[in-house]
Amino acid sequence: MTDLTKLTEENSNLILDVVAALQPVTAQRVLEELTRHPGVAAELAQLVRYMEWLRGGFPRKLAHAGPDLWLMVDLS
Amino acid sequence: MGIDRFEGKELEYLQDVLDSRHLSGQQAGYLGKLETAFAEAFGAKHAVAANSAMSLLISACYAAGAGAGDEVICDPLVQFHAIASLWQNAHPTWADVCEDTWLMDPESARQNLTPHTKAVFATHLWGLPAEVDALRTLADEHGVVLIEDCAHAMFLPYKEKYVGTWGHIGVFSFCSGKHMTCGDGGMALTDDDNLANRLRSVTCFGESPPELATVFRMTEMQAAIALAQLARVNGYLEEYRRSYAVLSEAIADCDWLQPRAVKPGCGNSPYIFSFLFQGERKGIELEPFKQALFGTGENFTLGFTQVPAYKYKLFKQPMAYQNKGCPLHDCPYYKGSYEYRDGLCPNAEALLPRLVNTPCMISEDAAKRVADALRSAIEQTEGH
Repeated sequence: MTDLTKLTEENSNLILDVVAALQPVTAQRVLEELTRHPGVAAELAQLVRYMEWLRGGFPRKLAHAGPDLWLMVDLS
Repeated sequence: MGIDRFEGKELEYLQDVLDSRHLSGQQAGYLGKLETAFAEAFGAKHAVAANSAMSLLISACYAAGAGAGDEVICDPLVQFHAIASLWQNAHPTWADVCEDTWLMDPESARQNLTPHTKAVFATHLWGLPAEVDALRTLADEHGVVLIEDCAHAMFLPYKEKYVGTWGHIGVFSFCSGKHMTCGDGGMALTDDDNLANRLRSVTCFGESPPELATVFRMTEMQAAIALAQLARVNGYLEEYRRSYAVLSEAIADCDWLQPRAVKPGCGNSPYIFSFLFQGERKGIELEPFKQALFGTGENFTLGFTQVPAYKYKLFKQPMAYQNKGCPLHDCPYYKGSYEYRDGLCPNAEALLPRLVNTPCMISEDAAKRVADALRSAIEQTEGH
């Protein structure tokens, strides 16, 4: 079971990919998409905390795009 | 982020506005009261309110006379000022920050001044003051306008007076999560009659505006809440200063985490507590620290935005103005030769990926909990 209390490359890449595919996207929508993946379970607050952390990612990172809207930015 | 607190006369003032049935455009109402009270509290001649600080940054850029073909010196750690410049067709350029304070380096600003420069934006990032005395001297010597971004700098002392009154214009933010809030809103301070008039004329127009203007007006409801907040914000700041001290203590004995320098004469209006990862100096790797910080469950971030604003696509590519190229590329009015290249601001590029941030507009008890989590992450990393 994927645990979003753990910072892993697999979790990060999954979230970055989902945001990239749906952007601009709300965290709630990302959560809905994640739950379609087998073995992924998370609460919204946990996901938002993880997404905030990914704002500092590199070369792919998340960025705020408005009230509760997120973008994936590729800095490479 | 912060804690929006409504413990004063907010409801009473709001009811007063609703009872008056005048919800906006009342210079003699709460808007006027707020502007007068704000100017008096900071010792400024004029205060001009608007619906957001961003609106005022755009307006300040206009008031400074920046337009097509002009350059505006911006802070590379944030994007707001360059966006404000683009709204006026002006070309953003970038001054580096000091490596120990992360605030605009006056010498770098001097090196970036050209005959095209009309304004300099300086940020008092996360509640510590930039060297606005040196920047003001520089601005006056070259006939450019110094605009202070005081979004994180409510009642922040720098030497003998508050920031926001050192520059030609100081812009404050009242959006949610700031030291004082009215949902959204902002205030510009200036001692210059001409700049005050230009700010007023561009933020709210009449039937035949003498210059291109828009409606950035603050409503009476916003002004009512902000006036109530203004009376209490100094008390909140005292609590946040105690929280900042608690967080500072947590890294005091760690020789691979670098605290942010606070220079003599500088006050603190705590907004975000921030420090630098310097583990390589002691053989400490970033990854275990990253895992430990994340594992605390507390609200830490690492890396902030990773790169300076000039590396954002918005500024590197001609996305503004329907891809016509202005003002960054092939603008017929721009006679400068500024290039957005890597290494433009080496200090900003070096420190951004190492920044560890956590909110410090929190209670002292909450700060003790976060400090314990930070100590635990340090111990865990050192034992790795």
